[in-house]
Amino acid sequence: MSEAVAENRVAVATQRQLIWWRFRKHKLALISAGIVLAFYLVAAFADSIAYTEPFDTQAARSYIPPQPIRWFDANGNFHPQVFALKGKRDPRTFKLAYAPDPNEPRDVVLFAHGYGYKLFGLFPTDRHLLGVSDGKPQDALFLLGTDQLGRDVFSRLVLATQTSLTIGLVGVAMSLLLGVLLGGISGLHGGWLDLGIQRLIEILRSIPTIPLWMGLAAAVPNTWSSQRVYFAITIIISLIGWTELARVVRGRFLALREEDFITAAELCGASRLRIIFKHMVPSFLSHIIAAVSLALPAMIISETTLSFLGLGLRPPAISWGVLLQDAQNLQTLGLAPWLLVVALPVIVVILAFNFLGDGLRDAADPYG
Amino acid sequence: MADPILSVRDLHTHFFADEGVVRAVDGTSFDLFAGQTLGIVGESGCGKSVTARSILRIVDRPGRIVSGEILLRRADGSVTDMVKLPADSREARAIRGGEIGLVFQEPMSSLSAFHTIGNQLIEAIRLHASLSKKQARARAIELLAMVGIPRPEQRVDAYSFELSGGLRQRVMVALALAGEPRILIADEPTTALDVTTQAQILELIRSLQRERDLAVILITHDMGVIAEMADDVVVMYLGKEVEKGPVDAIFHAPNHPYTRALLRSIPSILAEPREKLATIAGSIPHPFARPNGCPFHPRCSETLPGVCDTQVPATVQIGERQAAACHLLSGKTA
Amino acid sequence: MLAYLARRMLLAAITIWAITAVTFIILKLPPVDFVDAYVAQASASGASISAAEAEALRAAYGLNEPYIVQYLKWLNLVAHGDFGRSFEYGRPVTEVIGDRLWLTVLLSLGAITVTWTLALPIGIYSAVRQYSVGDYIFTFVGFIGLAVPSFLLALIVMYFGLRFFNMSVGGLFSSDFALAPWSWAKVWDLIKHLPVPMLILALPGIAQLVRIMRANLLDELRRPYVMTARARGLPERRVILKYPVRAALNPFASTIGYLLPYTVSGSIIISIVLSLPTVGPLLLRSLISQDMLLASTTILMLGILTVIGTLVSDLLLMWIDPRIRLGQLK
Repeated sequence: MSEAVAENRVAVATQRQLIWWRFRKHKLALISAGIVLAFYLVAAFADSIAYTEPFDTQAARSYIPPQPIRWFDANGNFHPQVFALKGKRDPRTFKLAYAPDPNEPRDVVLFAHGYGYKLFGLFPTDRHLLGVSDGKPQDALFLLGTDQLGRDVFSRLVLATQTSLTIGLVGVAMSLLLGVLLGGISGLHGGWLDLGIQRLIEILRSIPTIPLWMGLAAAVPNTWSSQRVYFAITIIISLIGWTELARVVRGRFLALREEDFITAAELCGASRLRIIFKHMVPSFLSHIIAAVSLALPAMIISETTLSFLGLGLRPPAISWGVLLQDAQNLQTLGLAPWLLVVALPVIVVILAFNFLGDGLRDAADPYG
Repeated sequence: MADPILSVRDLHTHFFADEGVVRAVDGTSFDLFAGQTLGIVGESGCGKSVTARSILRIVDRPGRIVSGEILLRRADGSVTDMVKLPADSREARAIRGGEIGLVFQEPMSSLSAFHTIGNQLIEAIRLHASLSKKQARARAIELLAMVGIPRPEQRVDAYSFELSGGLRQRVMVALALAGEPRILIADEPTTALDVTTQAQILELIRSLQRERDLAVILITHDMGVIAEMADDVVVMYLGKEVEKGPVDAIFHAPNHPYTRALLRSIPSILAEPREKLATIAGSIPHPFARPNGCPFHPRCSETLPGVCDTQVPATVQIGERQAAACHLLSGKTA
Repeated sequence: MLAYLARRMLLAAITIWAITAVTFIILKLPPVDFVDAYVAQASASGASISAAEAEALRAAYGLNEPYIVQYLKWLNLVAHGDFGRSFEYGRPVTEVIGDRLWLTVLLSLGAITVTWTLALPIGIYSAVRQYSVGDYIFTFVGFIGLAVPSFLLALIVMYFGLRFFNMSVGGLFSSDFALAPWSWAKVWDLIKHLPVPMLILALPGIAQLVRIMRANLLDELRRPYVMTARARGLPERRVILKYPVRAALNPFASTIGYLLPYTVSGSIIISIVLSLPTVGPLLLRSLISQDMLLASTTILMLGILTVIGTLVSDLLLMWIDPRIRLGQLK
C-alpha cells in the first residue's frame, strides 16, 4: 500500500519536486549549498562582520600573530576577553616592540560600535558583529593577526570575500549571457552558424588561455579607478567561461529538438517562441543552474590567479588574490605564516561549489 | 531416461541493494538433458537472465547466489557443483565458455567495438584449447563458416559495427561455441532482431544442436519461440518457478493461472479481425515491493481472498513430469 | 580517414591564424606603442636612440599605416623568423626566450606524462573497486586537486618544503648550474629538480582525468560485452583490461587535446611562483614592463606549440580508434 502511495507521489510530482527530492539525497551537495549560502551571507554583511577598518594602517601593529579570544576569566566564569596591545622597550636594543599585554584585558562584546560604513551601500551605521567594550578593536582584537602594514587580516579577509565572490557572480552572469546566446543560436539554428560557433569554441579551447588573459589584463591601464579595473577584469574572466556554458546549452537544445513532446507541441501549432520559453527552457533550466555552479569556481580561480600575479585587481582593492599576493614571498611566510590563511576560504568555497554543481547536475535529470 | 547433464536445485540468487534485497531468483529447480532444449519463459524482470548468469557464476555485484546447487555432469562422468566453485577460479573459468556457452540478447553491444571479430574469437578458442595463433585463426574462420557467415576469411578481420544485426548474432553464436561446449545457454537470442532474422537464428541453433548433441537452455518471453523450440518448459514469475513440464503439457493443459494468461496473450492467426488481444491485468510489481503470499495474486483473475494473499503456495506435482505452484491446485488435490 | 585528417589540419591552421590575430591585438593594446616605449626605455637607461633608428622601426612595422597593414607587416616579419628585439633586454626576442621555451615544453610534456601514468591506473582502480577505502582516498585527493588553484598549491608546497624539510623547491637548477653551459651534470641537476614542479603541475589534470576515467569505466563495466567476455571464461583481470578499459580510454584520449593547453597555462603560473626558468616569469615581467614584442612572441610561440601538440594527440586518437580509422565516426 505504501509503495502504491509512493508511486503515486512520484507520478504526480512536478519536475521541480523531483529535482529537489533527488538533490536532497545528495548529502555532500546539501552541506555544500549551506556553505555557499554562508559565504554569500558573509559577502552581503562584510562590513558588519569586519571589525577593523580594512585600510587602517599602523606600523605599531605590524605582524601581530593571531590572538585567540579567552572565553573564561581567572575565576573560571564565562567572560570573553582579549588583551590590548602594549609597547615594550627592549632593555638591550631599546627598540619599541608591540605585543598583547595580559595585564590589559578588554571585554569582547557583540554588536559593538566601530568604524562607520553603509550597510548594503544604503544605511549608514557603525555597528559591527564584534568589538571590544572599552578602547578601539584595532588595538586589541586580532583574530587572524595583522599584515606588514598592521592591517587586520580577518577584516580584510571578510571584505576580500565580498569582492571575490561577487566578481565570480558577475563574471558568470556575463558568460551565461554569451553562452546562452551563442549556444542557443548554435543549437536552434543549426547549419553553418552552428558549424561556425562550434569551431570558434573548439579554437578557443585549444589555446592556452592564461597567457592570453595575462596579456589582456596587463593592458588595463594603471590609471584606472578600482571600479573600472574590477569591471575590466570581470569581462576578461567571463571570456574564459562562456565556451563550456555554450556547449551545455547547445547540447540541450539539440537533444530537446528531437524530443517527442517538442514535436507534439510543433504539431499542435505552437509558435517557435512559445516552444522555446514554455517547453524547452523549463526543461533545461536545471542543467543551466548546475553548469553555472560548476563555472563559478573557475571564475573565482581566474580572478584569484590574475590578482595574485599582479595583473588583476590591484591594491587598494581587496580580493583573495590581492591578499595572497602578500603571502607570495617566502621570507614573509616564514615571518607571518598566518597570511596563508586566505587559502582556506578559497579552497573551501571552490570545493563547495564543485560538490553543489555535481549534486545539481545529478539531480537535474530526475528520470535519468 | 539418461542422467541430466545439468541439474539446478532450489537456486536462490539475491541482490543486496541499499534500498533492500531483491530476490531475483527465489527457488528454481530444473534438469537439462543432452540433445534437449529447455525453455525458460516469463515477463521481463522475472529472473530468467539472472538464472543463466548464476549457472555461469557471472552475476554482477551486488548480486550473490544465496543457496542452492548447480550440478554439472562433466564429460568424465564426475559431478561439479558450480555454486561451490569460487567465481574467478581456474576451474570455473574452464567451465565458462568451455562446457557452457552463452549467447546474449543484444548483439549490438555484446561485442567489443575496438577489437576485430577474429581477435575476440581467437582469444576464446585459445582459452579453451592449446592451439597456435595460426591454427586458432583457421578454427575461427571455420566457426564463422559454420554459423553461416558468408566470406568468413574476410569477415574475420571485420569490426562488429561493420556487420548487420543478424550477422552479429551469428558471430555471438560462433563465440559461444568457440570452446566446444556441451551446453548452450541462449538468453533472448532473437529479441533484438527482425522477424525473418529471428527464424534464421533459431534454425541455426536447432541445426547446431542436432549436429553436436548440444543441450540448450533457451530463455525468452515469447511463447511462440518456446512452442517451436523447446522440449521442456519452466515458467517463471518474480524469481519463482510457477509451473514446469513438457512443452505439450504446458501448452495443452496449463495448470497455473499465470501460464494460462501467458498463453492467452499469444496473437493467433485464427482470431477474429479486430478482436482485442488478451493482456495480463496490472503490471509487474516493483522488485522491492513483492506481494505477500503468492507473488502473482494481485494480477490473478482467480485469486482466493485470504489464502493467496497470505500463504506462499507449495509446488504440486501433476502427473509424472509436470508441476505447478498454485493454491487452486492444492485445493483440488487436497 | 583522409577527410578527418584534412579537417583536423584545417582546424589547426585556422587556430594558428586566430592566435596570430589575438597576439597582434595584445601587441597593440598598450596605449603607448612599442617603439615609443623602446625610446623611453632607452633614454631612461642612458643610451639614446636616434630619431632615424626609431623611424626605421616604425616603417618596418608600418606603425603609421592602418591596422590591417600593420598586422600583415608584422605577420610577414614573424613568418620569416624576425620576432624583433626585446626593449628591456636589448637583445633579439628569440635570444631572450632561448632555452626557456624548451624548458616550458619539457615541463609541460613531463607533467602530461605524469598525469597519464598516474591517472590511468588510479581511475581504473577507483572504478573497479568502487566505494572501497582506496577509492574514497583517491576521490578526496582528487577533489583537493580540483579545488586548489595551482599557484596556491605551489605556494603551499613551497612553504611546507621550507618549513618541515628545510628544502627549497624553487628553480630548476642548483645555483652552481643556473648560468653554466649545458653539460651532463647540468642535465642531471635538472632531472633532480623536475619532479616536484611536475607533480604540482600534474595534480589538477590527474584529478580531472581520474574523475573522467572512473565515470567512463563505470559506464563501460555495465555494458553487455563485459558480461560476454566473462562468459567466455576470460580471467577477470584480462576481461577488464582488454575490453572496458580499452573502450573507456577513448573519451579519455580525446581530453588530451584540452589537457595540453591547460597544462601549458598552469606551467606559466607555477613557474612564476616557484621561479622556474621557463617562459612564465619572462612573460609576466615583459607584460608588466610592457616589453610588448617579447610578450607577444612568447604568447604566440606557446599558442602555436600547443596547437601542434593537440594536432599530434588527435592523430594519436585516430590511430587508436578503429571507428575513426574506418570512417564510421565523423
